Amino acid sequence: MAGNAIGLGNFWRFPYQAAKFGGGAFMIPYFAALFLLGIPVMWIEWVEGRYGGKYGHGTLGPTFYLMARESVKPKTAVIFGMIGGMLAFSVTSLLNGYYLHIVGWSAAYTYFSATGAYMNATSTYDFFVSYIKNTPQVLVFWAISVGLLGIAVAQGVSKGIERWVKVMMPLLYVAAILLVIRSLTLGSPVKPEWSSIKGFEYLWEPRFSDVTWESALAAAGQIFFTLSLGMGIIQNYASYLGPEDDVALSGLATVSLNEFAEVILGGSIAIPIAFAYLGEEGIKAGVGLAYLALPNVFMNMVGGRFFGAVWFLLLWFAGFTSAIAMYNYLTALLEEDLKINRRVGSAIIFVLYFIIGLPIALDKTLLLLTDLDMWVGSYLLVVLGLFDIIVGVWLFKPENFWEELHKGAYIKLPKWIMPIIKYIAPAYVLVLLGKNTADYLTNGTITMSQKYLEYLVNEEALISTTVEYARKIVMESRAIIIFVLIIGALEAYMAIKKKYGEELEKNEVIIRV
Amino acid sequence: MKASALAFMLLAWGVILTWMYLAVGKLIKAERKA
Repeated sequence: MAGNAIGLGNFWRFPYQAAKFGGGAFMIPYFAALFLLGIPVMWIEWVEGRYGGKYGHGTLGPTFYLMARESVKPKTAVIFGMIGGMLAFSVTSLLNGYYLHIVGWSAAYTYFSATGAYMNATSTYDFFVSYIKNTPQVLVFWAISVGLLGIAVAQGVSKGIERWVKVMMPLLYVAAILLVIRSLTLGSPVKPEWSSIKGFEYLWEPRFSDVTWESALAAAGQIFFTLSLGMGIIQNYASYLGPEDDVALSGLATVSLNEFAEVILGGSIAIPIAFAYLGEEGIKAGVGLAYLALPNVFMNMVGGRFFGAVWFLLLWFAGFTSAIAMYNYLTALLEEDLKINRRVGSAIIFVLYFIIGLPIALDKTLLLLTDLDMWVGSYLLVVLGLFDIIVGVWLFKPENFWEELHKGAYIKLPKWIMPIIKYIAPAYVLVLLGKNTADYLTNGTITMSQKYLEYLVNEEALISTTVEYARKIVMESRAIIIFVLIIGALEAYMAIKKKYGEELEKNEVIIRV
Repeated sequence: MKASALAFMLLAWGVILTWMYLAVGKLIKAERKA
């Protein structure tokens, strides 16, 4: 898990989300979400996974069903199973669908660095835009990444990849530390008023008055994204653990390593570098921020081609390993629930990723990626987090949860943590989701109002476009999300019914381990 | 850099580094023992 603690979430998503939602104004709800949600939900998901694994399940539908039936009848428990299965299926399909594009960008920039393609570019922003506009090129790097992923999962070479993780991930830490040192010592390379220190100031000035409900939800989403929570993959991993394995201290250690990688390393690279070379406007570059900021450093250093290639290759590998975890979840789901063998299963998932990923590759404005990342990365993950707490703590019963958490634990957690997990965490999520959903309704995000579409065209689109195009893209995004949610719910219901059909018929618990 | 920004950054970095040192250190010790 420590290998998965560092990745694209730290170096790509964190800086762009922090820059988009006001830097210091983002960091305040970010830390609130880390302590009130991140750590509690991490423990809950490890407990859920290990409990599901006891019954031979590595997917969320049956696991949620089993935990919920501790408090409610099977016919009600199946609803929670369907919700959990639906959300986990949707997130691992949709999130990986667009995440693989970012993995593809890393592959492309490895190539561009090695060949020196951007070394003489007058603007790294224009270089990035020209890459995104070059659809065949985008498709090639994306297809290479998806293809390699499919082969790795089909061949079951995850174990071999784990060996590589042990070498590559420490290297990524070292490379990131070197970049942080470079970022701190950049000074003002372009204009006296632009400096990396100004970037640090932007990220760390605690502007309480600028905190909004939207930034608080985005911060919670980033915590879930970076810790791989609200996806089902932690449960899938934990399903292989036994009662003798520790989850309490391991959870705490995993989160601390990730926060080191994200806040200390990730927070000290893209934003300060963008501020030094591109000024305040540069950090508003959106999803492409890390890819248009970093080349500036490599262009201006000795051996920049080599170091740039190494950095982006390491990033590519980090993204690739995270993508494997999500791909594995879906393959396990087909294997376990529908008895489809691994090779065929991974081919089906490959086709699914192709269907989801192709429209994203064809969209030169990046609006589809941005809209999907908002709904999946900042909303659905948090919704699944809420159901983690409802099912894994409340319905499973808090005393059972506490006992499960301490099985094999290296540490005894203090009792005062329980009220945070039981009351404060769900209340915090409910307020965030409630307020933001209400805002989405009134500001036209959900209804796709003219005002919202104009905002997308003016503020979010990478290249200039029209309101009609934005409407088409947003409708496409919502249609994809709804379609995947329906498939996920049906799949979860079929999986539960297959193994627990008799329980559902008699509406009483029969199978116990 | 403004003092408030520097203070916030150092506080956050300090908490994370201490937390990482304690949690990872304890985990390594416990795993060796186990």
